[in-house]
Amino acid sequence: MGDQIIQSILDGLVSGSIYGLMAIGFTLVFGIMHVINLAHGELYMLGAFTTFIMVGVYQINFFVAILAAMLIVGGLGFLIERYIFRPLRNTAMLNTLLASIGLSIFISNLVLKIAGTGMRSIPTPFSDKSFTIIGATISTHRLMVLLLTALLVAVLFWVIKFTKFGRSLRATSQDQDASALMGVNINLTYGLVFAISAGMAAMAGGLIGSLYVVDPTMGLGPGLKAFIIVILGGMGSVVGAIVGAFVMGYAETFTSLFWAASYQDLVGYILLILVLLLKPNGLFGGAKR
Amino acid sequence: MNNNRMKIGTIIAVLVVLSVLPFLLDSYLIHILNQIGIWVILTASLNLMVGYTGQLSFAHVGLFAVGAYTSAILTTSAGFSFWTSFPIAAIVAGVLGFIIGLPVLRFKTHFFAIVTLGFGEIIRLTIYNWRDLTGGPNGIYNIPFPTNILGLDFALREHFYYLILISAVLVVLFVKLLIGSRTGKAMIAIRENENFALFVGINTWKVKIFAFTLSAALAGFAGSLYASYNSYISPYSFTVSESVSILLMVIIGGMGTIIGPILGTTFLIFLPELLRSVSEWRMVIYGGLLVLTIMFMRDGILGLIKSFVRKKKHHSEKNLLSTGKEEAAIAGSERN
Amino acid sequence: MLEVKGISRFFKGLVALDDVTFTVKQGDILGIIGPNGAGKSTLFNCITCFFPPSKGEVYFEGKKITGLNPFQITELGLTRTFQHTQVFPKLSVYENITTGQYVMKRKDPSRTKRQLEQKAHEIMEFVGVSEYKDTTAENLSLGYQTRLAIGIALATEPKLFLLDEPAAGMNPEETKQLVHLLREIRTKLGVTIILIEHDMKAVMGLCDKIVVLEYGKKIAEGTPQEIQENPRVIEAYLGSEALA
Repeated sequence: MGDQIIQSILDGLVSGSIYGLMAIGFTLVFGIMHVINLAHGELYMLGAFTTFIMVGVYQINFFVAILAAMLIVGGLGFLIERYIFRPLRNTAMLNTLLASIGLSIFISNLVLKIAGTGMRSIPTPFSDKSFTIIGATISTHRLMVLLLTALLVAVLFWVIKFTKFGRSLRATSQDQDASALMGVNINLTYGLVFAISAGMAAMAGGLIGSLYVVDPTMGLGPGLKAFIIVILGGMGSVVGAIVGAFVMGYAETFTSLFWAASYQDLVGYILLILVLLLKPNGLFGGAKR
Repeated sequence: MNNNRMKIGTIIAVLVVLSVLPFLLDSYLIHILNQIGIWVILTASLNLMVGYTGQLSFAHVGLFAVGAYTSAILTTSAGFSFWTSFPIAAIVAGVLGFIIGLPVLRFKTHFFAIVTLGFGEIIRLTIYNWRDLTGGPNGIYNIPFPTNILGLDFALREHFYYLILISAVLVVLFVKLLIGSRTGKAMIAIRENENFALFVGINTWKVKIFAFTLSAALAGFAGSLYASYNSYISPYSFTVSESVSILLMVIIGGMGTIIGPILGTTFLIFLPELLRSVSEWRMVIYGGLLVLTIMFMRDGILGLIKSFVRKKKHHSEKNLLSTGKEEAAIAGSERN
Repeated sequence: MLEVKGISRFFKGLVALDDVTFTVKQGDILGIIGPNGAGKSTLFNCITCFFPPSKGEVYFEGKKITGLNPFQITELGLTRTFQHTQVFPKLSVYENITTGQYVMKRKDPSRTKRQLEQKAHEIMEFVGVSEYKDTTAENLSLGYQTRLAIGIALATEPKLFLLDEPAAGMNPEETKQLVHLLREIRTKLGVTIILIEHDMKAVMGLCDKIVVLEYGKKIAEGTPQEIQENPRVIEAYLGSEALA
């Protein structure tokens, strides 16, 4: 049992960091643009498929493929912002929510029609070599996933804190009109934020697709979970998203360990309802309800 | 007055046509009409929340499932007949709606949406996992048809049609009467401006919980009919896709109107049937339609028809009316 | 008529209102002014039971109303308007007014439908929106939307009426008409009024008494004349907004 617990701690670390990638992107878009993008999970799925096609079919290097998937899906995100969310800006927030649900259903079913179901997995260059840490094993592969995630998050923090673009991001999230007056290009900023968010989701998809399977419906769960995590952590808070992601990751791994794997998906919703009842602004919520 | 008489005339004519359809159409078309009828009840129930009270609920497919499973379990394992199980199904769904509503109705807009979505998923996953009671992923087979009454044999689609037709007409009529009542006015006031509604003396919380409970019970009733008509149910009939489908039916027809959801339901169920070659693209089309409706047609098909009629009228009375006001009214109906 | 006794309100350790006390006499028009973020709207929300004060109590006609719900105090004869979205946008002007009469069934069940309809028309006439009776509220200009909001509130037949920045976004002409309307509400209907307003000229001309808030504290109270001469008030406003 002790070994299993340590193993679960490591598993939770991996799923928590993947959720983190998803949730940070989700919360960025919400915090800055006040858009709830329920198609976020579909961008993750597209990231996984893009990576799969490049590595599996065209035998491109795994890292190059992930990078390319981030760029391609990021570009798609930019277009989605431009042609769907921009026209809906300044209308009721529920409009963007509904449009994003429509988009999510559209994309997942379109891919389902074209690609069909069936088990696909992204081949990876990593050996099966595993490390043993205090009785639990972690494969090189998983270790790589952790490192890549940490690296991306670090880069993102650096961008937000120290670059000119990061400053304009923070300004825009505070006050759209004022930052427009200060010469921030709102349209470009929003487009880039959406692209970054989509790119992060694509990376999460690529990494997960190499660990597990690639499937057209794989985005639905993580997309909703990203929303739940963001509510758990407090809407718009990046730190909250990271903490929420690990809370979610661990809650699921331990449910599956102590109860049953099929109950795993319930955990997120129960957590969500508990947190909303006890602490309506989320764990780190300074944000508005 | 004249206008009213015309309305009543049209409604009676439509009802007469609807009641002779089983003699005119083949069994397959009747089957489609039956599906439409059941979904009309479900969308009328959702419209009560989304269209009239202004709360975007994703829990309705879950409550629909609760009604379907209650009815299915009672009629298969407990030996109840449909006639005793359908009111129980409606009550169970209503009570569950009330219990869910207590915490959920504290939240507004997107929080309400995601929390109701959460409850909908909890219901579906519970059904999926509680194998002893629900059959888990296998579902429940051989749900009996209602026992024969009034010389009707409900194993026949043509006869079941009348049960569904009467149910749908009664539910729609009930919703219409409710909306015209004092409570209905309060619901609309909450949709329009929840904070201000408090200060004209509306107990907003009570009205919302009433609307949610009632709409849950109606969803449960629709579920009961669904289970009995199809004689098979499984958790796969009650997914997020179904939530989005019924939401789209309400929105694309014109939410917050009586006719809108009926139009939307009919349109969206007929569409894949009319275009056989694309029927397997159903969900792709629905998803795309939802995006397009939100972007370009927020008042739905009905809104489109209304603004078309108004424009026509406007053309013919061009010289009599001051144009500015009329155009403002049309622009307004497209919601800015 | 209204007694506000030591109201405080804290938000996450921030003090939005700090021990505010004042009274309003029957038939008065009381103005509440102060720089942005002084706690004016919070004060309104506490008085109207929109949310509870952290400390203190409010009495309306000698009855404690703190802890009641807004729909209950509306029945007692206290109502308000909000700062931005003030009407029921998708309903017609007439429907807006009849929605305002919702409370009347509990307040005075003897009233017939006919009487209420009659009253609704009188109110539309009074606030000057009769000619737009069938127009959808959201298509009205801002000035008329404010009039309509006032009409909705009057339809509840209040004794005390609170208005949150009714003149916001209005041009000088519209403001002048608004001031005139508020005076008529007091003289013809005998309704007591409390208003938050930034337009100093309007406030000074209209109000019998003014309460000044700064950082959640009441820093002055008195007639317009006294307020204009109060050194503490002048200091609070110096550099931000000049007193007219």
